[in-house]
Amino acid sequence: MTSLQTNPPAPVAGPTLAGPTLAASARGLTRTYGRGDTLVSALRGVDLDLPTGRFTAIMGPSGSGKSTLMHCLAGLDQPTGGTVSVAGQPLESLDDDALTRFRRDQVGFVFQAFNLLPMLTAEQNIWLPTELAGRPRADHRARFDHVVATLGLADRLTHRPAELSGGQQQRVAIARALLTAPAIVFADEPTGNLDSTSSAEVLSFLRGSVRELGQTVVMVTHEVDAAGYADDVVVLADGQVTHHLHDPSRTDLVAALANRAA
Amino acid sequence: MRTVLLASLRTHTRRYGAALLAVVVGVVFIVVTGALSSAVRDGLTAGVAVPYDGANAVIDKPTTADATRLLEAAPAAGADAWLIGWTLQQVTHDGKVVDTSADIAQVPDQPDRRWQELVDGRFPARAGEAVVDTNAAKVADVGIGDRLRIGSGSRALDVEVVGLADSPSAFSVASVYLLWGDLSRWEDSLYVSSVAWADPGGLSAARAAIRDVVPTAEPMSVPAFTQLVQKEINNEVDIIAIIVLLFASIALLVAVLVINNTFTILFAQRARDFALLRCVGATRRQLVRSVRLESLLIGLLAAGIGIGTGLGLGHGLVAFVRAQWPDAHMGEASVGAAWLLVAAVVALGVTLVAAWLPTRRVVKVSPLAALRPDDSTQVGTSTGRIRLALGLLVIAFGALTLAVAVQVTSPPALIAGGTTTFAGVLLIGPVLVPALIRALGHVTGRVLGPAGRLAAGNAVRNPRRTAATAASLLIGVTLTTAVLTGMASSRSALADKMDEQHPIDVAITGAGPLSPDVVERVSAVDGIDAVATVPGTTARIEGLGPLPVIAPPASTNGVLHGDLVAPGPRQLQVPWDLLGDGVEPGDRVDVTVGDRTERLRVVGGEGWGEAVLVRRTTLDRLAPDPSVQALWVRASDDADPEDLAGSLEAIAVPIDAGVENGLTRRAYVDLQLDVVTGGVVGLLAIAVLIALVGIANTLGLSVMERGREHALLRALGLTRRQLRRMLAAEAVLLAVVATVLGTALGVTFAWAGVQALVGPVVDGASLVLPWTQLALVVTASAVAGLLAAVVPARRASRTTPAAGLALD
Repeated sequence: MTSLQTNPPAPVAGPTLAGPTLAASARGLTRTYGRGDTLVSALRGVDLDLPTGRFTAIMGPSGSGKSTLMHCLAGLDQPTGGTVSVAGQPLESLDDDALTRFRRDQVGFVFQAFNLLPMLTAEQNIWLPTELAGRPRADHRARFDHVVATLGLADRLTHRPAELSGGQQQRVAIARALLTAPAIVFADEPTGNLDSTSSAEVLSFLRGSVRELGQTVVMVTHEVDAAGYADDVVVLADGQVTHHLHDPSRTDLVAALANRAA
Repeated sequence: MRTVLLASLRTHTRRYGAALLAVVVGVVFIVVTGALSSAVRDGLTAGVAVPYDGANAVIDKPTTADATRLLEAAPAAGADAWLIGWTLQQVTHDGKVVDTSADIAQVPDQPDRRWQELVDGRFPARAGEAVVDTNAAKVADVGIGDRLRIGSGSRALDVEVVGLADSPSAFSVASVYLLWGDLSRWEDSLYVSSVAWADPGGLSAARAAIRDVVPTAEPMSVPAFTQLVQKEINNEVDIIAIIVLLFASIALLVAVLVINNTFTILFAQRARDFALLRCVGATRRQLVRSVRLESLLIGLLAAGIGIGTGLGLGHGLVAFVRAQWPDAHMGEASVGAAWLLVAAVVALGVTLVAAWLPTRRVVKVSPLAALRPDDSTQVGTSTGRIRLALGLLVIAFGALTLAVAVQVTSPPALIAGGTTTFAGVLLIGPVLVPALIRALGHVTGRVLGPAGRLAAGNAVRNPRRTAATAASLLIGVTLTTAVLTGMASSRSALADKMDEQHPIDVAITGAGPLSPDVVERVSAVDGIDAVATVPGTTARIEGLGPLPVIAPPASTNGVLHGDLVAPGPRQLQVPWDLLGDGVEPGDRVDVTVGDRTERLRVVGGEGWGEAVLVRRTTLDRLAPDPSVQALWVRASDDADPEDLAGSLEAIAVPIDAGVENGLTRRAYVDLQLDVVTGGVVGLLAIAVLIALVGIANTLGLSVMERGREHALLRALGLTRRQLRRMLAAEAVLLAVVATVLGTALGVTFAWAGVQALVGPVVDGASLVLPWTQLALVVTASAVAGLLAAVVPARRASRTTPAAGLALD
């Protein structure tokens, strides 16, 4: 298999005085499910570095391990082997509570569905991680207003999720992810349930948050159009990284995906 | 459809666990009741006929005077007669009271009529000899050759134990058996259950002979009498069994709610499956049949498990009681097939009834539902205004009925009013319960932060489900608090009555003057608050013989509860026990002390022991210089009645003084109230237990349903501990709100009950709130709510966020 990986593996070190330049990195990452006959290897030794301030798309067909990779990078799932660092923090050294606190402070999430708690209003949903962390709202008030204005949610704040369109729900989820200015935002198929207009809107917001707010966003998707909004594209097949492209053209991208199939 | 049915049963068995458990507990309740009542019945009816062996005729419940006449006339008529009856007397051994009220019965004078089974020694041959029941002897540590004193005061009798005996019949058992000659001294306190008459001439000769002595007597043949007794015993056991089954039906009603809720939740969760089945071609009829069959199988399984467990538990309990308390006269347990069949039918019925409405809802699911996005976590429907209005109307009607019941003091109206009000509260439950939870949620939000706020939100998310879960707990709590409050109120009402009947805790009345040494020793006994010395003397009273005459002391020193009814100027207050036999209230009798005689009018009274009570002025005329004749003792509130009585009797018995113990009678009444309260609360606890299973179940099913949501919360930064706290808070909120609501209802019902039932009997009966017990109920239910959350919360917090997000 030809590797087009152009990014040389950087040494994984603790936070330096200059601060981490990598938002997240993985070394020799493996994850298996089940045992014996039913053993499934979702990840087979993934090495990956995700720089800060970039919009990265992780692509691959169903079963390639995209979601598992994202879950491991985000500290939602425990890898079977290998190491993961996020914002310079090695995750394997954290116990469940520390991991939860770390996620709360450093990681934002946008999921395909079940993004919002149905009994809370849009505003309550956006404030939820701050509230869970027990931080005063005042610290984030300015950013809240800015994010809500940017995402066009100002007149939707008192609505419950059931009263919002799919695109609006996803924008609320993005606002929630951005509110605490996390080191990295993970988006798992954020446009999977949306029509093309809403999809374009949501993707523009994600890219906007990278350009204008300096966020790092990692998005898992299987749509080539969605990946087109990203700066970098990581292609996954059978639990391994096959390509890591920077600013690819659509042709490069299609070639990389086709190459995987060949 | 069979494949679908079996697969869904396999998949969802665990989710049916709670429904299954609820029915099983109800069925076990029924079967155990059957086992216990059959054993009690067997124990009580066994050997009922044995004491009447050899008799031709039995006179049922004659008056004591008739019985005495029959016993005395029998030898002249050439017949044998003996009585089955008891007098309750104090028994003293070595100056120590071994039983304050032992039952003393007759051993027939004719050796071949003795129905008691001699275990050791011999039967009494002369006056002053006694046979003691083997079990009673074991408890009191009495053996052959020991000397006992039976009774106290002037009628005390000293006997020697010459034999130990067993009774073949629980119906005729006594602690001590004496010959008629000895027993007849307590004729006036003797309760005669029956008199047996053996005439060599047969039944008709016996009838004639008996009618010669007591013309009004209605002698029966022994078989007829035995049947009558067995019927009476059966009726009594049946009444108890029916009362217990009433509680079983309350438990089953709660089970219906729990099962109904379980099915509703399960079917809501499976709505997509059902829709998918409809999509691929299942007809509505097929779907309903499959679901009904599923509930039928659950019912069958519950019946099987319940009957098996119930039989095991029932037989085990009976065996345990028989081994532990041999004198409890528990017979063999045998639960009839009919009883088991009823239990099985009830189990099936309960399950089917509870599943009926939810299954009807299943058919309404449209095939399209399978194609829509999963909406199982959507906020529940709001309650219709019609339902709310109807509920308020029903409550108003119920309250009106309760008010009427209080006015006309009618128990049926009381029950109808209570049930109606309760039904109304259940109707508005979906509005009322969430509102209360929201109010209380502010508190949990304060205390637990975001976890508490989320818990309150989750708890009210599906108002119907919340209300149904609360309802199951509401039933048990309402009844429990109503019973607790009602009992506390009755107790305080009874306390006034007891003050009147037993104004003195302990009265020690001497046969002669009490020496200063005795007064000193009594005053030194532990657990005594105050002692009053009572002036008096011994007098000869016309028709009653020699008796102490006492006058209430000028300073009672606070020994009295309430007031002692003081005798009038020319009155003589005689204990009721001594009246009726020659001397009647209203008679004028001569009271003589030495050479002084007063003619006084007799009135009845009680509470001061074996003495007659007169005014101080009357006493002064009889004995110008009275001595200390009696001591009245006030026990301290925390004194142990048995210990205190033992210490005082140890002083009184050697000097032949009588002890009237109002304290132990008071304690006995208290104990009875405690036993009734404890029994009822214990039986209701089963209903509460089922309700708690229901809470755990609702929470458990909701947790499964909210798997993704919890994963999302965890991803967003909710720690495991916070997640567990959130679920625990949800359960506690639900339990506490149901309990507080139930307590409010229970106290209201108790108030109506006290007004309607106790008020007419005891003047000035008022509501007394047993704060400690009520607080205990609320605390217990909060703790139980916590416990109910343990399993679901653990399961929820074990799942990793990634696994939860991958859930379908």
